[in-house]
Amino acid sequence: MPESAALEFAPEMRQRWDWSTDDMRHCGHLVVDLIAHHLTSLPERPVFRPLPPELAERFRSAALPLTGQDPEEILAEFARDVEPYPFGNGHPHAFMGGSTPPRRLLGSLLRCWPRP
Amino acid sequence: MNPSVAGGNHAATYAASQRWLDGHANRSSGGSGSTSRSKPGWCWYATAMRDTFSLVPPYLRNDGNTDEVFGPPWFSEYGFQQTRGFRALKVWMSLKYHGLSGYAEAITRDIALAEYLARLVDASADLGRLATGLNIVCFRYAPPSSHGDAARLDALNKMLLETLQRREQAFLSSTTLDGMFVLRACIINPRTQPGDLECLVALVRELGAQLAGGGV
Repeated sequence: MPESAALEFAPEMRQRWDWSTDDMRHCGHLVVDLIAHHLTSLPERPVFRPLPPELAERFRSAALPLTGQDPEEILAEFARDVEPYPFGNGHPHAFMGGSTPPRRLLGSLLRCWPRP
Repeated sequence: MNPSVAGGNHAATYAASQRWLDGHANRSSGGSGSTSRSKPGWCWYATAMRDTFSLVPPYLRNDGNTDEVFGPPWFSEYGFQQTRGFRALKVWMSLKYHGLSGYAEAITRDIALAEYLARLVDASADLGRLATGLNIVCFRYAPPSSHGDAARLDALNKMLLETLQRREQAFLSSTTLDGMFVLRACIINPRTQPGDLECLVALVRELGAQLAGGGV
């Protein structure tokens, strides 16, 4: 094992692991906007929309990312390629169990950091 | 990369610890030069998991026609849960945010910090290091005056650990190595700095001296 391995991150790498309050607020607001859009628009949308095979193949064949992307890009990809294709659950016309009541948001968001 | 399949952390860990694994491969695989688990993947044991958990009751039709809704295997065939939250999304997003290189750098730094802690322990005459591996260091308070009294050192270090945990300044776990009770530091937080390890060593030495002086 090399004795010379860095004990400190380069500043830009450290920022990726140690967000400021502003970083968290910025990304948090983007995420909450996505959730609000999803939950409020879901009843107006098709109850089930299959994942297009070409999109599934793109996910399947994508290489593991070597370098990181910015959170805005990742959330935009989520909004475009993931969010529109939930497996029915949560729509009032999905009669096979499962739902996403808004109150679950409270627990789900708050449980993201503690590890009991 | 399939966001619906969990297990990506293994791949990230793999990338960062490959060099360490290579160095230990001869020990773990009888000298073949590579371990049987040296191939990264989203799920090493998918077939075994499906064989174990697959249960397709009549109300969950699976007709094998992949052009239809009920063609592909249900995820519920791979574990206990019938439905579950989108847990793999967290893995997918984390990998996209940090990239493999980001994880490799962070894990490499954790290992370097563990090596640094090991050097701090080695430089302290009243501490003994029992083991170091990847990001973990096992050590104990063992002043020369204890003359290797095994029972006394176990009692001293148990008391030291409990006192340290209640002091709210540092938290260690413990384990048993070769029958000895030892303190165990696992370095995995990207916000841990070298100074935090210096603080830990100082705390352990200070507490150990207090307890040993008090007759524990």
